[in-house]
Amino acid sequence: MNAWMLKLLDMRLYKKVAVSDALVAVAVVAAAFIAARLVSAYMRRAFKDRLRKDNLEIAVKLINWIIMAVAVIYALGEIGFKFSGLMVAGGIAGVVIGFASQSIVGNLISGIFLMIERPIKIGDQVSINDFAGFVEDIRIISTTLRTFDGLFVRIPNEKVFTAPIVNYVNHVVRRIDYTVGIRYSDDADRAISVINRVIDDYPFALKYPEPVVFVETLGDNSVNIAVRIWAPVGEWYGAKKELLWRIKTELEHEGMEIPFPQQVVWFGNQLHTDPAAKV
Amino acid sequence: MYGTYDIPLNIESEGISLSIEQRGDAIVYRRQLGEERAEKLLLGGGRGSIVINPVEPLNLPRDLTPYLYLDFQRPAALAPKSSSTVFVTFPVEIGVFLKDNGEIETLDIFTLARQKYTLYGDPRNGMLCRYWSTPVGTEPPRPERLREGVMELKLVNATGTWIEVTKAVLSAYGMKLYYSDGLVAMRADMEVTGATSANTDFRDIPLEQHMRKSLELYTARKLVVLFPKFTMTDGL
Repeated sequence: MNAWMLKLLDMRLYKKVAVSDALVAVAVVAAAFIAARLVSAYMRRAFKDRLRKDNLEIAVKLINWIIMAVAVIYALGEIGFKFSGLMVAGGIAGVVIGFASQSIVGNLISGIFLMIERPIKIGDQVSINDFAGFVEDIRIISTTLRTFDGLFVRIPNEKVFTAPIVNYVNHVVRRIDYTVGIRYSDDADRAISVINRVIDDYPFALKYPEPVVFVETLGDNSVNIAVRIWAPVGEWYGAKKELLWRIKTELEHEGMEIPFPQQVVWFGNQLHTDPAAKV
Repeated sequence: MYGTYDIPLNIESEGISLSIEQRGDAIVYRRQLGEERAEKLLLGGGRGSIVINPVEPLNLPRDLTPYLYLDFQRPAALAPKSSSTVFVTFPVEIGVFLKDNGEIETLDIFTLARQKYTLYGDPRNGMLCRYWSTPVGTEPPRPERLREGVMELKLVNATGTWIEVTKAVLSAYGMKLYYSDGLVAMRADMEVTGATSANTDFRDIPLEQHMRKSLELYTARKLVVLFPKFTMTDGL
């Protein structure tokens, strides 16, 4: 049994590479894979409270790549792969591989630059290439988003890197803009005062930068009041929803109404109407 | 209202209704403040005591920031190379804790004080802060202790010019709150280092004798206190 096994292990696969060398190579890669997983799990647990999630994920990936790269280089050496041979064997093969992997290399380099420049981070709310949602992951080749309606979107990093990116949460505060129309018969100064009071009472409408409320335009059907309020970026959506309704309710409570579109029609001749007449 | 109590507990004070009942192995916590209600059920831990005390005023309506922005209702001008002590107010939040065998569980946090946020700095890289507008005086005020506390703020002007101070930004990670029957208080320092910059810090000394130290929420949460000081660089 042992002799048979030793014979099998000594069997040459090609040139000087024996079965045992191939097995060692496979074992090294497998062990590196397991080690990378264990190190990742340990890092995520140990640094969860000390590092930001996106920074931690980049660090985990970097360590993973280093472990796997070292293992693969060692394993290739075990099975007789000579890296010096790469220089010689470049030539046509290199050109062919280069063309074939052009987009992959482009995505990879874009991925590296995205990680260095960091216009987006994991968890950010962004809009890229007509897709808007939360950044789920920034991988070396692609970036994944979860759209606001829950869809999974994978965008190659080359496109992320070259497309205009809107990051909705990059700054700590964000502005809310409304236009509120009141009737021409309503007192605009009092309406502004009511709106300012609503804003002042709302915790997430920031004190500074100061909110701005002013008559913006004299519209066809209404006096239009512009309302500009700053809110913490994480509370922006909730504040935007809630404040508009509070403003509307309070204006109505104060006897002011948001008018319907209306037109005054003038007749060229005097219009005779007979209330008793049937149409 | 502040103090340490045994279970069961029933408190009615200044519109706050608070009760803690023992139901077998469980504790039922109920609190009402105006239309706002809170209720919590704690299982298997009914042998502790209840601690009610003021906590760092940075938890409500959301735990968005550890910074408190005190907006002075009138500016205070400081002579070159001088120091002076002023009194300001700060909002109070009330914490209810269950203390059991050294372990502390936060049951509730509520407030009677006005809640408002602001930005310190510019929208690009400013800092979100809890906002509070405060009178400034050389005598300590006596506000309602369930709503407001008193802060003794020692202002030091380390520069060679007159400096006008209109605000102070403080970090919650160093707040040392003390309370007595009639007062909630803190002591802080603000060292002006330039026309637009200052360092703020807290002192762990009660404002009056016989004041008790509050159980700090940041300690209860077992967060590591890294930067108790704050450096203001975006204006005074």
